[in-house]
Amino acid sequence: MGIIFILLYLLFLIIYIAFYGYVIHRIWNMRIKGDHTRKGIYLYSIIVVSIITLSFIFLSILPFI
Amino acid sequence: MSQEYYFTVPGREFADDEILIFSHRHLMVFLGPLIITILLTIFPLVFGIILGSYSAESPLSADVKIMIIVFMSVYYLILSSYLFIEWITYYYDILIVTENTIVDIRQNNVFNREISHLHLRQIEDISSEVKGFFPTLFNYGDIIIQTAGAQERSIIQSIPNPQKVAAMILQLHKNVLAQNKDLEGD
Repeated sequence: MGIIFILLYLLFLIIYIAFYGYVIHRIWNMRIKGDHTRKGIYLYSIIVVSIITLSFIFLSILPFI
Repeated sequence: MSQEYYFTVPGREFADDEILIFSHRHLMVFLGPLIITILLTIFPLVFGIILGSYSAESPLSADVKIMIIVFMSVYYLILSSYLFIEWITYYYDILIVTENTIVDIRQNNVFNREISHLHLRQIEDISSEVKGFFPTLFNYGDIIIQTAGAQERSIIQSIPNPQKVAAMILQLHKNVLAQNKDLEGD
């Protein structure tokens, strides 16, 4: 049961990263000289990577197999 | 063209025009989504702590714990994306006024953007409106531009210092009309 959840989670992550990769690409093309888009995208990326990393750390602690 | 100057719409047209007003919407517009996100961030953490779901001694089985971690992860990923998209929607809502043109850029969401150009000559009347408690407190509001063209009324929303901006646009409009009169006189 746990494995199925993790597989579904991985599938979600693939779709999520692909979609937001495209969104960031669109936003990157809208940039204005001297704006804060770069910082915004960096901050967003850091938050997303932190959430995913923490989730994997917590999942790795659990004896699910 | 500078590597950073990707903004294709006004970039080329403003080559000879000086940008006199460049304004985002007021920061208060972004405050609502920010507060919602903060509350939604805290809520599951507090709820989980109260239920004791995160403690090592929790009686929950490993499968349930996996389910909680996966749901929490998906929840926070969606929440962070919501805030990011709200920020983009706020940040790319821009008013640009040059010596001759008004450009109103409305970013409704990441995939919906409206850009309207208006020549200062076309303006017939301009007014500003500050309505409500927070707009009055933080001095932001709408600018309503009446034009002679097909699009009769244009509303630029939640701009900081709307009276000042409206007065500046009116002055620029007068300058353009005076220039036109001079040209016709010659």
